[in-house]
Amino acid sequence: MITAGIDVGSNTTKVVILRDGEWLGDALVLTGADNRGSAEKALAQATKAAGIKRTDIAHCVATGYGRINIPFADRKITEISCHGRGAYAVFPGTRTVIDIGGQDSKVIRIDAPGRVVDFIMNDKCAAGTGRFLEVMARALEITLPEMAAIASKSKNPVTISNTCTVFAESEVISYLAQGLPKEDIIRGLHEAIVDRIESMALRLGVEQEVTMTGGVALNKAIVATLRKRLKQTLLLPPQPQLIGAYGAALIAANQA
Amino acid sequence: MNIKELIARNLQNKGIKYFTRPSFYFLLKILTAFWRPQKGRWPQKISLSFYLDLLHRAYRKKQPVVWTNVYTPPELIWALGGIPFMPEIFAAVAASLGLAPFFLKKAGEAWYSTDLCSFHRGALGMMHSRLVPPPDLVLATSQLCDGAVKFLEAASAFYQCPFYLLHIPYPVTSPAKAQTWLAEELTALARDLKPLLLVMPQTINKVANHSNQAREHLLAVNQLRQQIPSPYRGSEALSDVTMHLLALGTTYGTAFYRHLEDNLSERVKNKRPVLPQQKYRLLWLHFRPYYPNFLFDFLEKHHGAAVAFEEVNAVTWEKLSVDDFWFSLAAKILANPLWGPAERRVVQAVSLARLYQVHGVIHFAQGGCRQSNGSVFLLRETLRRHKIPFLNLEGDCIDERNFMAGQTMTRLESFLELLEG
Ligand code: SF4
Repeated sequence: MITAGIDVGSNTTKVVILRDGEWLGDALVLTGADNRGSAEKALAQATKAAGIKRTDIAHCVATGYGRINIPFADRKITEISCHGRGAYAVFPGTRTVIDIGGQDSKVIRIDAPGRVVDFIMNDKCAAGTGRFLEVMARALEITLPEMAAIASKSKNPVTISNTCTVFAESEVISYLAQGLPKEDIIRGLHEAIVDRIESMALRLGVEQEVTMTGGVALNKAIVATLRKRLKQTLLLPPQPQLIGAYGAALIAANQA
Repeated sequence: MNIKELIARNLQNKGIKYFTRPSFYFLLKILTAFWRPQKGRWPQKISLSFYLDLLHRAYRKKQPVVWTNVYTPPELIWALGGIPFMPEIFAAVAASLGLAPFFLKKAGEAWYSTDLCSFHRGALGMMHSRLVPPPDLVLATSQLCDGAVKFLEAASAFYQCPFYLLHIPYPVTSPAKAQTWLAEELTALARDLKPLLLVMPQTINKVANHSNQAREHLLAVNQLRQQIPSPYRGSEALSDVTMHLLALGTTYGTAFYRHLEDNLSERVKNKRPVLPQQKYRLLWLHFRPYYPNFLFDFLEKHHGAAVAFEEVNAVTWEKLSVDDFWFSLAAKILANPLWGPAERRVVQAVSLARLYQVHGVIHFAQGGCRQSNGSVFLLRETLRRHKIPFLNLEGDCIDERNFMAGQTMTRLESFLELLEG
């Protein structure tokens, strides 16, 4: 049976297509202003990559913030359940999932059979999310992949004291004006994000094994800092940004 | 133009005079008297009549208006011959009419920080708009929150009327001593206020009897709510709670709970639950958002999740005594589990969760509410030990700018998915 999972996030929309649980194809497009349009586009790309027709899909589950706007989805499930499910499928020893997405971050606890037993999400602001890094990359006039590489050169990270993204941006600009090295500022930004995630993880309690999902898991500097802070090995799936969609496709297979 | 738009436009135009005239409320009272509600809607008629009557009397000024904070037992002020006015409740009423943003803005203009609980900011905005009956005196009780005391002190300065503060002891080491001490304070307060108010034993008798009758009906209502599926909507119960916060000790309070009991008995007897496809039962801690929002529809209609009970509707006190009124009133005040060590609230939450056979507990974390949010850690840990799932849902009861629709929905849905397993 062919199933699809669509994860409509604030930055990107992801689709994963499975046949009997086996990965057939995937796609990732920018979400933009039109959730439905980007879901259609991602689905079209994913079906092409999988070599199937859209009508071959027996069951489809939507997740992510835009899940309510996907009329062709058979069911809508939250990203908490989908990331939990996806991470567990990749690493069955997973008991804690740390997901850092574009607009929110979450820590999820799962039990031995893979059920979500508890979760925590970031509060209302963008601090501790991918959006925070994006805004800062723009202020520093560098790309996101460059950020992680530069951060790893720092020996003396600055402290970013503002949690508000807008004020933190002004803080960055003032550090630049003071002539502080870019790598120390960038490393400071990474530490600030990790502070947030670490405090959420500790609040919920971290149980081994820990898997990281979401687009920010591609940032090596964040992963390394978090690993050090939590004193835990962090498991990284091959395409962490697709785990929500993967989990959705797996849930679709169960519910068809 | 609907009624809300009409009121909002009048507020903007400062054409507010008629909202502060007793004749306005008198007219509405008469119109309400002709209203023949459908079966099951009598409690709504009674609560509407109660509020119109209260505003009519408060503006008519035949009796002194006493501003006080929520959880001051209303019987205290009714028995003293005053009209209790709890501005926080009217902030919730304003929010339900979609008018809170106007008042919150007013409070901001008067230098009140958004860190202050929005119940108080809303009330302060109403005060600065002069859209509430002015007090003849202000009586603050030191429970539950310090913000309330400061807010009421500001009100007394604004209206230049006397300010009284009733200290409520923390019932920790010696509850019996605390009760005796508080009873003495209440007796002294009644003596001090005698020249201002009209304390008469006859009033005390009436108030105690009405309060006790309403209490019996409320106990019966709460027992009927143990039925599965639920005979009463949690969203309604969280609005109707204002009747036991303000109307106990009056004929309205008694009639309201008597009709509510009748309605619920009829629903249970004829198997007419409010949510036939009830999938989950929830216990709600703290109040709810009072501005129009999707939260309860989302829970009930989309997910079959019923709020089976709320901590704020629990009857935690014993009957009031006609012979020893102040002593029994002291006991009522001290019996509130939201006052005192957090452990009392936590113990109550666990026992209500068991009694109402809920699948999970939601704490609505009101922004700026130190007293409620301060007990979240203990609540969560204790409920977890009892294997009762718990969600701390951040939001705001009055200020809809602090209500994040998408994030709230995701948290709620995730919690329900977790309950599904
Ligand atoms: S919500 Fe909390 S802070 Fe606000 S009035 Fe109630 S007890 Fe006080």
